[in-house]
Amino acid sequence: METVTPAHREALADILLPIADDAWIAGQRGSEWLGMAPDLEEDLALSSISQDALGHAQLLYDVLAELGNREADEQVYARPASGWRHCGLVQAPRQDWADFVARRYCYETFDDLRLHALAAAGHAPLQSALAKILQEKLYHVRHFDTWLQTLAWGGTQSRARLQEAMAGVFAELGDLFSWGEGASALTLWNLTALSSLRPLWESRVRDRLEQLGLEWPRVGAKESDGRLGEHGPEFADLLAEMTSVRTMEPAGEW
Amino acid sequence: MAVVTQAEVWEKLGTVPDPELPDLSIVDLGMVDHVAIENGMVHVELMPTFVGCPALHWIQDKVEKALAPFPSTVEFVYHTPWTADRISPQGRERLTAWGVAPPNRSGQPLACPLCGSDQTRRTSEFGPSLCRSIYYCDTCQQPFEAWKTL
Repeated sequence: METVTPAHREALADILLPIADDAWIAGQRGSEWLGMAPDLEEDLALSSISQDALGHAQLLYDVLAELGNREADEQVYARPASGWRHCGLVQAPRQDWADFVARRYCYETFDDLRLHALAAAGHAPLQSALAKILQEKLYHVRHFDTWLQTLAWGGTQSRARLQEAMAGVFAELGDLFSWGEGASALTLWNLTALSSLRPLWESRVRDRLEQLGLEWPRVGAKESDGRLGEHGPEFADLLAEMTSVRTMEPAGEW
Repeated sequence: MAVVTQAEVWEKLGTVPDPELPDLSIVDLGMVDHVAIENGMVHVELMPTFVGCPALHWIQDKVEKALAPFPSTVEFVYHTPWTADRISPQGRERLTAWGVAPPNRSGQPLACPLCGSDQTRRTSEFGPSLCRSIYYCDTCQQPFEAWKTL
């Protein structure tokens, strides 16, 4: 019989918040492409993927709430910027399509590895949530991999722009692999495999870039650590927009 | 008040439609995991087909209305993930009749729900809702939707 002590509960929040926050912010940024994607099919696809991502975040917030942490609505609408644990990779404002494809390919590949490793956690509600999330994740990983291939083989211009975008994204990877203050939490839950995902990610991405004849760019050093709540001024704008409707009528029923 | 039976509850649940495919009920889709009746109170456990499905609250409301006057609670559960194999044979027929190809694990090309041809190809893994992809039939030259094979 599983026993969740208060220490385990707090530790699980340290482990799940970065993952859930990454999904929420990726969903929010993805939805900013509505009506702007390269074609109608992509508009539909990205809308679905963003809706999935917000759903995944909510389900993970729900797992935390069942253990006595704050409710999903509170997580999203009542946390100060410094309480968020997402990485810089998912937070970047919308630029061009090559940047978005490079960015999301890197994120989805990492998140897929991370979620599979997380499935070893001995907490039944989390395992059930992950089983469902991973069914849908498969589609997201495949979608951005297809786009990576499309741009790599599309023509001279798309290839050059993808390569340039990949270099820009790699320079910002820093805190993707960080666990901030959550490293001891991983030990408590026997999930230390989660702290050594970087070589797995590098090996998978390196193979793919090689197959597509793309260069492996330099990975940037960590300038600020989103896992410690350091998000830069652009997050203040994003958070203000995300919570603007709720702020108008904080006690309203939605 | 008379006590409602399991059979009556399932019959009523069979009248709750999918919001976008009204010929298809949540029973056809295999979304109903468990029904419990205790002291006249009906408790229904539903398995979401997709985590972020925006129709869940709508479905919950329709279930409660379908079961009225019996009081009911509806809970979404994840202990077993919903998979496409839970769609009933009747559900698969109704999907096809509605123009949506049912899920397919065979590895063979999907049959076009409009003309039956297997000369079909996927044009996008994502469609107008989370649960559907878009295909094209080269025989009748029509686009069609297919339920994702989760």
